[in-house]
Amino acid sequence: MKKIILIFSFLGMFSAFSFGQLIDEKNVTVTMDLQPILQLNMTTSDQVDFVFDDIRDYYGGIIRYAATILKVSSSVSWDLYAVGTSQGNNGVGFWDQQMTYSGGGGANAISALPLSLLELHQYEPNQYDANATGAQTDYSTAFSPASALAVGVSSIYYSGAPYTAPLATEKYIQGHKGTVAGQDGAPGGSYLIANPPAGTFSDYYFTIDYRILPGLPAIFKNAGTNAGAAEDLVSVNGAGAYANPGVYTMNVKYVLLEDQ
Amino acid sequence: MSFYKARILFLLLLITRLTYSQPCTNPATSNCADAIAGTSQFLMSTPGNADFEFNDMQKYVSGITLSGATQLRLKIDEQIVGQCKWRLMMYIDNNGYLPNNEWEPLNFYGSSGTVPELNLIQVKVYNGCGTPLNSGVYQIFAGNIQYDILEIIPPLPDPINLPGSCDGTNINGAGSYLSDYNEYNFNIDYRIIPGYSTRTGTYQIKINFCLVEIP
Repeated sequence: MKKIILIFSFLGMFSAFSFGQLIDEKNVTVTMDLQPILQLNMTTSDQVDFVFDDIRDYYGGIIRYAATILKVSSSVSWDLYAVGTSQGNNGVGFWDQQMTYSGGGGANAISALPLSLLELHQYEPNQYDANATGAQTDYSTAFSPASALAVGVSSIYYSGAPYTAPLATEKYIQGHKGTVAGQDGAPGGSYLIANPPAGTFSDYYFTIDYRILPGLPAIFKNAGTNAGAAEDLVSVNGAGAYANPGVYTMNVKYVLLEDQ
Repeated sequence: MSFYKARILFLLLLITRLTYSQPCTNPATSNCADAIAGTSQFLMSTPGNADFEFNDMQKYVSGITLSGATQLRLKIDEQIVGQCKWRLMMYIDNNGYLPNNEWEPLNFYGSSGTVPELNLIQVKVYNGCGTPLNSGVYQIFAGNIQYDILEIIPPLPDPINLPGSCDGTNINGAGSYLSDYNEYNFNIDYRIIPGYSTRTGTYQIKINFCLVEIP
C-alpha cells in the first residue's frame, strides 16, 4: 500500500511540474471605468420676463408656456427639483428689488415679495414620488383659474440652501427624497433613446410653464408653502398691504442629482 | 519516507489537482512541440490591457468598441508527424470575486445601480479565413460565471484539419502564421454597452487565452 501511494504521489508531481507539452496562456486585463454622468440640457432661454403694464395682466396673471424645456441624460438613478433663490437683498425667501417706481409707493407698499409667488406647471408629472409626503409631490397640477384661490399648490419650492435636496414634504419634478428603487428616483437613461407612449413625453423630458398672478390689489394670493401656509402680502404684512411697484428678480435653479 | 508522510503528500497533491479548476490544464499527450521552451510559439502582439472609460453619455448609449485590441499568432510545430492537434479557447476570470458572476469592483463612485455581470463584455474573434468558431460574431460568456469558456478552435474529433484550404474550417493542426497568416492569426475585438442600471465605479476582469494540445 505504501509503495502504491508513493508511486501515485510521484506521478502526481510529475504531472504537476512536467513541461515539454504544447500548453501556453496569454492574458488580457479588462478595466471598465463607469463614471457617473448627469446631464441636464436646457435648450430654452435662461431669462423669463413678466411685465405687468396692463390691468388685465394683474387680474389674469401672465403665463409663459413651455418657457423652459429640460432634457435629462443620466447613467445613475436621479432626482430633479426646482428651487427658487435670490440674492437675499430683501431677506432669504424674497425677490431682489432692483428698482423702485413711484418713489417707493405708499405706506403699505411692500418690497419683500415672497419667492413662492412664482407658480410652475410641469409636463409630464413626477413618476417616482411614491413616498412623498407633501400636499403636492410635483408641479403637475394645472394652474388654478385666476378667480380661484389655490394657496401653495403651484408655488415654487424655495430655499436659501438651493443645493440641499428638498425634504419629502416638498415638490420635485422627478424622483423624490429617499432611495427606494423604482419609488424615489428615476432610473438611469436618456431623452435621446427613451421611447414614450404616443402622446406623452418620456421620463427624461419636461416642459415647464411659469405664472405670476398678482391680483388687484397686487398681493399674490396663491403664494404659499407646500403645506398650504399662506405667504401672500396681506397674510404676512397685514391688511392693506400691496406690492411696491418696481423691478424684481429671482433665480430658478433646476438641480439634477443622483437619487438620494 | 514514512507511510504517513507519503499519505500526506498524496492528499496534498490530490487537493491541489482537484482545486485547480481553471480550464487551461496540462495535456495528456506530447505530439506537438512545446510553446514555452520548444519551437512552437504562442504570441500576443498587442498590449495586455484593454481599458474602457465611460465618461460621456454618448458612450453609455452606444457603447465602446476596441477593435483588434488583442492579436494572437500561432506557430505550431509537431513532435510526432501527423499527430499534433490543438485547441484554443478563452475563459473569463473575475479574480475570485464573489458572487462569481460579477466583475471585480476596484472602487465605487455612486450608490445606486447593480454591479455588472460577466456576460456584459462582448468579444469577437476573427481572422482572414474565418477559422474560429463563430468567426466574426460578437459573443458573450453566456454561462455568466467565473472560468466560463468560449471556444476559438474547439477540441475537434479526428481528423486533424491542416492549413491551406482557407474555407472556414477550424484549422487545428501544425502550421504557422508565417506561412498561413490568415489561419494562424486571430484578431479579437471587445465591446461593452453598459446600459444605465450599472453602479458607477471601476471594475476589472481578466480574459485568458489558452492554447493546449489535445489527443
